[in-house]
This record gives sequence, structure tokens and C-alpha cells, in this order.
Amino acid sequence: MTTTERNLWPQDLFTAVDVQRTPLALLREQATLLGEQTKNLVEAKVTTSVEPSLPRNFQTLATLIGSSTNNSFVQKFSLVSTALGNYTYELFRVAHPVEGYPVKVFFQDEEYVAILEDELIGVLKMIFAHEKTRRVIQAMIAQSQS
Amino acid sequence: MTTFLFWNLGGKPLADRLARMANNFGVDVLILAECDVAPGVMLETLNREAVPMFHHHPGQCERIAIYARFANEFLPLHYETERVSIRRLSLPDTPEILIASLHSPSKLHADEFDQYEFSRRLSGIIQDSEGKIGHSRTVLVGDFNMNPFEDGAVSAGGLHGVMTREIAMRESRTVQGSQHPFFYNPMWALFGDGREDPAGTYYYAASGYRAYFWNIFDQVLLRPAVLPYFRNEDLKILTSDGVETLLSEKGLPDKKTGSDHLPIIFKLRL
Repeated sequence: MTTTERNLWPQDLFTAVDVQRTPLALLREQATLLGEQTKNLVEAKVTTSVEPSLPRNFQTLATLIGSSTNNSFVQKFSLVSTALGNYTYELFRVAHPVEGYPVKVFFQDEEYVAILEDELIGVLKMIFAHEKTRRVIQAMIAQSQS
Repeated sequence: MTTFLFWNLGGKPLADRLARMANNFGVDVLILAECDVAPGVMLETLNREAVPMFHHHPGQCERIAIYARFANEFLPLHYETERVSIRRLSLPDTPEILIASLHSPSKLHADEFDQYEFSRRLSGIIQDSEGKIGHSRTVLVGDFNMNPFEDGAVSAGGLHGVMTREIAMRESRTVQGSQHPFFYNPMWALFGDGREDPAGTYYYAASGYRAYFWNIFDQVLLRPAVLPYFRNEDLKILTSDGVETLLSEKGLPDKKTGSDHLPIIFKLRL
């Protein structure tokens, strides 16, 4: 039996073609950029957990665009100051199905939905520029220097 | 290759000089004693030019501060006391190393017996850690506040640091029925004026009958299992930050512009 016959997986399955960046990749990228800009005084950490299903009020949308509704991923985006003994502040969290999109973002008692990568980028921009985010980061920097 | 620098800052605001050293000598891990610089200020100073940038590695050990060019998950804490911090250096594709950092009690506040007792207890803590973790690739570095020839440093019940690789490679020796593992102490070779390096890391001209003048209180000791990754030429007592000297006109540690201790730098070829 040849290798081709044994391998039943389609050959183009593992070639990424015009794929959106995953929410995790986007968040990790932004986490790294924060550390670089604050000289590591404030870093960001992304932690992933798996939930049994998507948030209830999010399942219909996911089904509509053909995404799974079970076993959703939750990405927690936290600000961390090692200079303050690893003080950690959870800024927001993102829930999404295994396919990556749509995502639901939970920030400051509000919920935001993004169906595409560009929409998620828009939500992240809004969160990073938010007054609350600014205040927390500036306070962490100030405290770490005193 | 991972480069380590240990320096007792003597409570001085030496962040700028430290940043210069880190950049000029390619230091990956900074281990500091008597560091009164706030972590935020230190990070900001170190990371003005550093690529990759330093991270602070916080802990409960009040006497030791650690900064490294990699994130905390690569140098997790294993054990800490007020004066000792033991961390696991786990970099990708390299063997894990235990980094034990210390700042032993000063001779101003502890007599020889106290210092020996500190070393004996430290030796027990290290052996216990090695047993729990399952290897003895251990590096012990810091301000020992004693010379390599003092009881706490050489005694089998203390740190058991010997002056040659050949002896250390025997791994241990049995004294009165108990087995005691060796450390190799390469600092022995740095005493005196037979090399370009200064004759020690700390200078003190005692007024009594016994005065060594130069002491080597700042040391690195290595278990035999780490010796394949260490070359003696990779260990130095630094006399400059890469731009300006750390010595006075008399060739002693310049306390005005630096610390009363000189830093030591060493590499592990991991």
C-alpha cells in the first residue's frame, strides 16, 4: 500500500489559504506590543480555557454562520505588572467557537460581537483606547516606579 | 549560550551602569543583591535599548532581585526564603538548570559559626530541591559574605565547594558515613594578582592581625552535572561597565560611582 493510499486526508487541508487570523493570534500579538511599548512595566497575558458551550445568547449567530456551538474557547486578556509582584488585572475576555469566528467580547459589563477579523480589530482598538484601560495601565506604570 | 551577571549594588542607584553592562556584555540574566531600585525604574532603564527586553521576576526573597531577557514562565520559582531564591531555568531545547541565588548574612551581623550554619542549612535546601526536581544541574550564585576557603564554603557539611573540576567530578565524598555532594568553585582561580582581573570582588583592609585585603565574597559554584556547559574562561570579575571603569585610581572598587563589590559575569553554554 502506498503512502497516498494510506493517507485519506485531502492534501490541501493543511495549507492555509486566505485564512483570517485567529482571535488568539490577534490577542497574543497585541499582548506582545503592549510589553514593548511599556518597556515591560505592564505586560499582557492571554490565557485560554475551554467552556462546554458558547454563551447562550451567542449560539444563534454562530449557528447562522455555520460555526460550532459546543466546546467554545474563552481567551482572557489580562494586564500584568511583574514590577508589582505579578499584579494582574483582567481587562476583557473573548469567547469564540473552534472555527475562530464569530467572537463575543466581554468588556466593562458590555458585550460586543465581531463576525470577521476586521470587526474584532475594531473592538480591540475601542477597548485599548477606552478611558478605563488608560487609567489602569497608567496607574500600574506609576506604582511600579515608586 | 546564556550569560549571567551577579552584582551586589550596595544599595546604590546603579540602574544606568547595569543597563550599560547588560547591553555591552550581552547579559541574559541579572541577579542583584542590595538592590533598592524600584522594579519599574529598573525595567525602564534596562529596556531603554535592550533587545530583547528584560522582564522582572518577582518573588518573596527580599535580598535578591532578578531580571531576565525572557518571560517568567522560563524561570519559575521553586523555593524562596528571605535570603535565598531557587528558580528553574527552562529554556526551549536546553537542559533545565536550577539557579540558586543567595545573599548570605554579613560578617557585620553574623560570626563564623552563624555563617557556617547558614551554609549548612542552604546545602540541605539545595539537596532537597534537587531531590524533588530530579536532577542536580545546579548553579549557586550570589554574595556569600565569605571567601571560598572559609568553613561554610568548603566543609562537607556546608557547601562543599572544591577548587578543581577533577575533584568535583567525583561528585561526592563520604564523611563519617554520610555522603556529601560537591560543588565546583571556580572562584579559587581568581584570587591574587596573577591575572588581569582584580585580586577579588571586595576589598577590606582590616586593622587586626589577619587581613586578606582582597576577598571573593561574590561567587558562582556549579554542580558537576553543570560542568559540561561551563568553561573557566567564561567567568570574569568585571572592572568596567563596558564604557567606564568600576575601579578607583588605586584599583579598588570605586564606591563613589559604583558599589563596594565588583560584579561577576559567567556563561553557560546550554
